Amino acid sequence: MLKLIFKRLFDLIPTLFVVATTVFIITRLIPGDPAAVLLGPQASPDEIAKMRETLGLNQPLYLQYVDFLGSLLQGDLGTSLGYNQPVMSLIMERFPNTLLLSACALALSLLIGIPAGIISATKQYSFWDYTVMILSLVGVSMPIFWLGVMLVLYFSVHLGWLPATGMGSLSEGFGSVVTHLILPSIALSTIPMATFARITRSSMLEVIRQDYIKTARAKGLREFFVVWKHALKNAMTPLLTVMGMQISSMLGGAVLTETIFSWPGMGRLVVDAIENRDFVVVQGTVLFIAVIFVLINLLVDILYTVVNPRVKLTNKGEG
Amino acid sequence: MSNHAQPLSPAPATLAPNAPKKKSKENSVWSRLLKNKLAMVGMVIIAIMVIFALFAPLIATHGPNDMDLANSLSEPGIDGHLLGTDNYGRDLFSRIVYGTRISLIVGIFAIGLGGMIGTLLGLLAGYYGGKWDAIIMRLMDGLFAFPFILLSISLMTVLGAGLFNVILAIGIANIPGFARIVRGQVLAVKEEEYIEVTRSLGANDSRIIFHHILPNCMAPIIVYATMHVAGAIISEAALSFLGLGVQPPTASWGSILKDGKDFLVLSPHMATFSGLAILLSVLGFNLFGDGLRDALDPKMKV
Amino acid sequence: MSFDLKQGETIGIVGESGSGKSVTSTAILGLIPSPPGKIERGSILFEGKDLTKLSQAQMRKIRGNEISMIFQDPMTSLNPVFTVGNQIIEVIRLHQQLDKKAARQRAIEMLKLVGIPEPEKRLEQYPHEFSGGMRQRVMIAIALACNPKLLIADEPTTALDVTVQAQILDLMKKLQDDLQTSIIMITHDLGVVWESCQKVLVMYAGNTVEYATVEELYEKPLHPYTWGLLDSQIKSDTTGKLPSIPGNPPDLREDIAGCYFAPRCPYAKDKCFSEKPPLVEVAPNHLVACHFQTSDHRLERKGGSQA
Repeated sequence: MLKLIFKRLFDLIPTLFVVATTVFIITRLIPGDPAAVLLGPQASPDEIAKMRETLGLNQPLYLQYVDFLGSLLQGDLGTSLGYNQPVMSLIMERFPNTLLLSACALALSLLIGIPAGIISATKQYSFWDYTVMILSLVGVSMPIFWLGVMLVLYFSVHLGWLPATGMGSLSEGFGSVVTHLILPSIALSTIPMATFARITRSSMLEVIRQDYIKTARAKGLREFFVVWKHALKNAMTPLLTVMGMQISSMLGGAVLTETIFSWPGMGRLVVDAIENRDFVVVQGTVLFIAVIFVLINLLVDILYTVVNPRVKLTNKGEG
Repeated sequence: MSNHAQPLSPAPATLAPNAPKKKSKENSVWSRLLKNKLAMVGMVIIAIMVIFALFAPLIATHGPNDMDLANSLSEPGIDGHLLGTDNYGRDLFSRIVYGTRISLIVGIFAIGLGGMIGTLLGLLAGYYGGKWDAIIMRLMDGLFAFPFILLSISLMTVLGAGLFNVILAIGIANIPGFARIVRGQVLAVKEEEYIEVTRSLGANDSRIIFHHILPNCMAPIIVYATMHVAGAIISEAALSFLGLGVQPPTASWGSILKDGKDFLVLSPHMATFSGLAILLSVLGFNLFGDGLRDALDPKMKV
Repeated sequence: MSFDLKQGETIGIVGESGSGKSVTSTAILGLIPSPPGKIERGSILFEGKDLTKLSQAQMRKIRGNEISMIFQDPMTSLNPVFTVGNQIIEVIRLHQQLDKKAARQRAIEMLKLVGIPEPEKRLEQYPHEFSGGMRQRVMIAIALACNPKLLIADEPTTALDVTVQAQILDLMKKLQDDLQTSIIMITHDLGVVWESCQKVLVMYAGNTVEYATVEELYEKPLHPYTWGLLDSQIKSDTTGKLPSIPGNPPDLREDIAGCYFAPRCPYAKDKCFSEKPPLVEVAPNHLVACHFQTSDHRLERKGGSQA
């Protein structure tokens, strides 16, 4: 098992290479001069030329590429012009905050989405089923940046129950962090929650008709165990597939959520960097998030084998 | 990936020209779609959007950029402003009506662009396999590693703001999804017997790809495209919300929401209505896409 | 329909697919999905208790413990994501006050009993690592783990290879002798009935058409439907096309006045379409429901093939 995991990690190298190259291509090859974009429309040609020099954009492309990959291998994502700090240390300051927010949102979406889907499936065509299905349809269509704004409007502005921005600090007590977490977590969890509910429902509906469910009932098991043990574990496989994708879009959604709630995470870092035209930070953060995503997908693959013994962890490199 | 998806017409017209049968199959897809209430709700929403976009000047009560600073931030329903005004005194209803244009244009053209390139890449990877497949799909995996919105954001930072660039960025971000769907479908269709027969009859690759394989991939492509128009609309709104998308004073739902966020306490209607417009249109495309999938083939993995 | 069963006895319920055999068995266990199914009237007496009147909680104590069931397709009736051991131990721990270790020991014994080699190792494996016959042995181990008094076997050999079928039937017979379990054997295969049953009940469209001891039925089958079934069995001298009963079982949602089998019966007369024949005892231990098979009137069986 451990050996296989290492092998899969090794297999990630080409993907990571493509990821790095893609970032490079986006920043260098697509029409548009990073230096000009960086300095804004008022910059003089002289200033732009100087900036190109600073950024190393005057070197031949292949040299730029080699430099770029070389520093990446050393964990160097470049130095931010705006912050005058290595991008890596900027990210490391904020990554735990994004992790905290994403983990809360994921937990929330799983804890509500899966049971909702199960209830929906076991009571198909009931009032609960329709409620869950309609809510989840609206949920998957939700622009979360709008939901975030609306949550602030009602819970912070009108009711004054919860803080609208920031993440509080542990020095003000544990509760301060928790109250700051609630609204952004709800906003970020909406789409995954709705997706989990839908997937769980359809996959449970399929599983619940299987013969082994009849066997479990014939054993004299309580319906609760039949559903939550025998059926759910079988329904997990499609759920895991979707979970990998949802975690990815949550990392993207964190950008919007953190902007609305001024949550000091990586997303906020990206948006600030965009406003300050600090494209080294944008590039580094995007690259970092992509790597995290690739690693999460590996984790999901490993989880597959835990949930479904018929799946063997193999070297399934190509898409 | 999606070898469950049934091709629309399993019997190819070239081998057994069976026009009436094909027709009845299409009819049954339509009748199933028409019977699906949720899909019809989606279709009505889409129809309203199209009407808003086409006839915006007739439907809007004011010019989208007509400022009336004396009446800025007025409440809905006052002075003939159906949904109130924004911080420049522009009529919110009219701006939302005009904003439909941006959403639809971006939705359709970005998906058109991403769909075309992605489909082409998927066809090549699936049909030729081997090196083509390895290179194309590795590239797609690389693109897939970026959360969708982040990919669009990073493209926008380099491209600079503007409608055309929004379409380009969202279009590019949509390429890998289409490539994957189409590749999977091609792999399933390629092995069908009639493709062998057509080849033995002397058809060349491009004829086989575009006349025989592509038509059999259309069902999942159409469903995937419909659902991702919804995604493109959200992405445009998100980019504009971040100030990266369509530039002021052009009315876009995302930029109205961005302004609305700054005046949340004074006049919450700006943020509320622009966001509702986004939610409803996305819901419309999702409902219609869901219904389309169920009508074509409920087992389709899109 | 009505039948009774003594300890250690086996009754066969025979009929085509869709004739209501499996519904009967799931009804005994109280597992008819409701809606749409419902037991409208009648009673199921098990050791003096009426199973139709027990609460769900009381039924759960009986299921898997006093009455067990084996299903048709061993490939799908074991849960693919739990180890075989886990699935046997589950039922043991559910009904018996045993700790984990003792339950595990009992599971190993059961696997040994059903003839699975290396039970300690097999216990840790998943169903997909077993062949079809081995999986059915596991199903039998699960079913018999709590020494049930009644075992319902729903087409236990249909999905298996012919050679494996005989092994499974032998195993069931041997275990029945050891454990004194009664068995309800549901099958469409009269061959299985001859081999393993003492009594047999032929069902058509949810109704009993013939009920007799196996010897009686083997020697003197009476109902035209039973004849049809017999003719469509593979025999050692079968050559060419196997005769089958023409037509399909009726749709029971429709109201049918006469004998359900009449539309497919080569002996049917007007009376058969207007009046339902009662189930009457025409000879000792032999009941049949046919207007023309009574104690003082017999039909002439047409030779062999009618197809």
